[in-house]
Amino acid sequence: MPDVASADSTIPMPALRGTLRMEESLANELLALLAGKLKNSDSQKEGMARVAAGNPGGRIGPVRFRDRWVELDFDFPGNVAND
Amino acid sequence: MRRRAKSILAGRDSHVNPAGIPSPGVERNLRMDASGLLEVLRHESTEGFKRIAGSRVEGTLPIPGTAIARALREGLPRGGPVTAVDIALQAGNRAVLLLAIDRFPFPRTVELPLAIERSADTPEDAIDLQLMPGGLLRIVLPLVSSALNRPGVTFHGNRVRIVPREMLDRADDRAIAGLLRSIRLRTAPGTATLDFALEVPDA
Repeated sequence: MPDVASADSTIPMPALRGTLRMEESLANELLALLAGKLKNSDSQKEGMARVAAGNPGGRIGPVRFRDRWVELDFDFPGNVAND
Repeated sequence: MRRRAKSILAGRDSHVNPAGIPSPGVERNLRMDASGLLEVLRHESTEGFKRIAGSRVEGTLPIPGTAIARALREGLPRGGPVTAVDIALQAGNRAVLLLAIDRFPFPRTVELPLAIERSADTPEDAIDLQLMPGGLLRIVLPLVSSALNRPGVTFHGNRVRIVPREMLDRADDRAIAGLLRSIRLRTAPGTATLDFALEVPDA
């Protein structure tokens, strides 16, 4: 029986991609933490752009604003090796 | 709420770029990555995901064989004849299960090759593993089934049937697991990879 007790059994960060569709109140709660209190869609867009800029390892955007919803496409590579 | 949301994105000093240096002109806590997304899901699960209705996530989760082995070891019945278990994952949906047995007249270690016969498409579908016949399989099978007995896992002769939904219903993040729409398992040397898709129903 091989000794694997000391082997690294950490599950790496998954690769995730898709669309996060957020109701405006949630989007604002998140963005308020990033860019201060936001009160209009322009600053909301600006905040989203800053989120995207803060993710050099992944991709966020495009962002779509629909009524009271914000749709955010994302692609986080995680720590998954290409195979 | 603000404090809870804060844990999602802010104050995460460890979230710097791979070089460990914040990107120029960008505050360190602007990072939103897979773990941040998971926190959003966890947070919104307490309110039925209403505020993220219509969201869709596809993912690829590589699980090291060492993590699977650890989970198998932790589930071993105390005082049972199987004292240790390991798994060697191979390419092409194959693996070798290694058991340490402490009961006369069984050998001290047994290697049981297995193959993923059928992977699930949805969490409700079964994943069927076939333990390759031959050698000592028939003799040690009762020991294997008692050692690996847990919710969602059943033995049918030399086949092991795993129903992900039955396991996920007991998981810590069972509310998020409830959003799973598809699931698929494949193996490579040393790693099992889970491809999955989550969908939050439209409000």
